[in-house]
Amino acid sequence: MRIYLCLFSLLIALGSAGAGENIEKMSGYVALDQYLTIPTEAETSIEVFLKAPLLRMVSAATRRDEPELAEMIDGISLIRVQGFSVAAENLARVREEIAALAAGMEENGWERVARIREGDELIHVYLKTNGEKVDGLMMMGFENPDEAIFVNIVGDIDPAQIGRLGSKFNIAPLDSLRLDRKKASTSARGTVLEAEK
Amino acid sequence: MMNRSEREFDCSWVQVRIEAHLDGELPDGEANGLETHLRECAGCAAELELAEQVRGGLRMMPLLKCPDPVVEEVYERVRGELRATRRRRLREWMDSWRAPLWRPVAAALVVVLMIGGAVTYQDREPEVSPAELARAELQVKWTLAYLSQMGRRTGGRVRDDVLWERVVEPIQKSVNRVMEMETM
Amino acid sequence: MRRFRKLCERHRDRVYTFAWYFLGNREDAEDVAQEVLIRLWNHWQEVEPARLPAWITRVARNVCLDLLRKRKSYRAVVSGEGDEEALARVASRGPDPEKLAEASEFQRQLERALQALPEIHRTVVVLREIQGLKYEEIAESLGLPLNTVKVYLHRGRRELREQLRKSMDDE
Repeated sequence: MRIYLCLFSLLIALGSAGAGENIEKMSGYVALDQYLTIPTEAETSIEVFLKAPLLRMVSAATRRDEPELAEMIDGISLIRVQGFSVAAENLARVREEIAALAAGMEENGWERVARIREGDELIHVYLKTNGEKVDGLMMMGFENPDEAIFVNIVGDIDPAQIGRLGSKFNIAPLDSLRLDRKKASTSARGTVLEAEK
Repeated sequence: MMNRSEREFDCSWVQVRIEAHLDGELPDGEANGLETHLRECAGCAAELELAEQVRGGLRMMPLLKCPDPVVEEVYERVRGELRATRRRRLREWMDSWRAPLWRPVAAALVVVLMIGGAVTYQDREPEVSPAELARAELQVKWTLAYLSQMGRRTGGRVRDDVLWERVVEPIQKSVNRVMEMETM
Repeated sequence: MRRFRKLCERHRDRVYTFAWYFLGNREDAEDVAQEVLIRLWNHWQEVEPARLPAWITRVARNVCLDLLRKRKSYRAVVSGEGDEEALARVASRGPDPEKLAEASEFQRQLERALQALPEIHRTVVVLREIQGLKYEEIAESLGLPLNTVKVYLHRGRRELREQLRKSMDDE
């Protein structure tokens, strides 16, 4: 018993010395892995995982030319995007896991604020608020019948600012980030997006 | 001079009772009095006709079918929850079985990892190349653009719902308060 | 799960119909129907089977009210104080175009007038005149005395009548 107590105390001491920002403890963080099993054969269409240290660097790099963007990034602790293909035989299971994820989030105080349902597309948008602040934003669902996408932003968020800043960036050229899994469909989507503007 | 029965069954009395009369809920005496008045008063007769049209129109409104995708989503959620519950219970059962054997090993492992973490300091500023930094900037912008596009497609509902009550409105109120103080 | 599916099949259309006529648009009705069925999943085993229909009606109404509370701009438009953007949003969430095409002008006006009724009158009118529930069923669902239900129904219909007369006079 004494050995465990000593080890535990050492653990705490080292924990305080060595720990930085623990993203998983932040209220706006969504532990995707607890609910979602990405099928092994799934192809990743987009993957973004930017934590605070790298985000600070991006903020510093953009501060002179895009100060509002830099200011917004300063408040963010994590930007995570995960998109992957879903084969027909896995579709039902992935949809069920997304539904369970939604249920888990709602139990933890997330609130669904918007939904898009058009044809095979189904996207949910959730916010985690803390009084007047927004601690987290989560967007998830199916953009195409065979592509699931998850976007989690953690930190001190201003969704109106995100909308305003985001509208400045033309997504079509930025879509080069999407991995060349299906070139034809990506470019078609880019054309549609341009037409919508 | 009006007799007592005429005064009882005047237009204002009738107007209030038209709906009850349509539903057959007036006592006989009142129903007869109302019908007598309607025979003599074109205005109230027109009101009865309109009341009949309204009731008929309401009863013609169709019963609707709940779209299948709505219910399918509910079933998916239920199945997902059941699956997650089973997974959690299995984890708990396995943890309870393993715990006594793994405690000292786990504790030692965690200590080693923490020492390593304290030395390396995970969250120190990473060393990134200009290309990696540029890519990170691109990723941030893509994410914002994507979210903004999705936000527009939801028709601004994000602004009106939770956001309005809990974020936008309080901010507006505090801005207004500051402005009021400045003008004083 | 099988038993829950049976319950869903039995009640889904009723919930959706109520939400559609109460809120006036398909999208909100779908959200409400989904939320009500999810609450049914979470609680159906706690409710006596005989009381389940009344329970579901009550939950449906509460979920509709919650949604209305969040939709401040929607309410503002109903009372005539909304801004242009809010007006445009509500117009775009109006009744199904295919239904509108078939309905007469009177029916269209009646549907619009229904949306403008005070909430409790609208609830009783929808449950009684559109969904055909008995007074006793409505009273149990809403936790109201029988006579109060009748009074609300009559007031609701009278208000509809007054609104329609006003629209006809304006034309």
